[in-house]
Amino acid sequence: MPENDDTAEHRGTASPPGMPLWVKAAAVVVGLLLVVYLVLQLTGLGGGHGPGMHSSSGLPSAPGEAAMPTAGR
Amino acid sequence: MTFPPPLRKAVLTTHVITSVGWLGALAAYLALDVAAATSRDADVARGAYVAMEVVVLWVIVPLALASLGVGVINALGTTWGLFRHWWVVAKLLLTLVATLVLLVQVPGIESMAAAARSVAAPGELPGTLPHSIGGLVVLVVVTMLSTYKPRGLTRYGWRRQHAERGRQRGEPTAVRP
Repeated sequence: MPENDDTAEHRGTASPPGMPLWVKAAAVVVGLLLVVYLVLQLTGLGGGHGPGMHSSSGLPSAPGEAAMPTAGR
Repeated sequence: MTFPPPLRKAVLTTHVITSVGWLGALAAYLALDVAAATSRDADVARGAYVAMEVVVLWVIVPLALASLGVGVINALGTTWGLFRHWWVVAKLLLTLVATLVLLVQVPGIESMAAAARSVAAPGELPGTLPHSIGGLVVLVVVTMLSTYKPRGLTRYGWRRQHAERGRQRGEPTAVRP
């Protein structure tokens, strides 16, 4: 990061600045994404997506345990 | 505390190398992820999953942790600070989230690589495409924040700036850290 080049920002103002528009817009987008994620989780439309999705419990691990379908491979 | 220029440049260079390296390594990981998910050749899919594990464990995770740590040091050692500008706060939050999601994913990636070594059809494994695409988007946004630096002081940054100007004018100041 280079040195601060926007020190003229709010120069001379006596009150603290409010939250910039781009921060509010980003917060709204992140909030909407979280809502979509929660809806997908609660309705099951997300296909069980989550931190445990790739855990070993759902995968064959023993050598020779070829439980996966082989059609088309 | 502001670093002297030589140290500041060294820390900044390290931060750029680790951050851009993380982005590049994730792009390579995404290519492997796509190959694992789409290849009709079981050996290619198997090799891709094993390579994904190696890339994550030995390149992506170290670079992510280094980028986060050096980024914090870099911010604290310059006049940008860590909580004075909204773009720095946003960048910190996004990097923290990306690092946490990455660390949560590591055991699953190890499990898939282990499974890929033994199953007949590794191409049927779930893969990690949503995470690698999402992670790449987040890192591109973080890089854009670093270069565009959208304006906006936080309340804390405004108080610090106000106090420093008062100090320069010889006025008494009282700023909470």
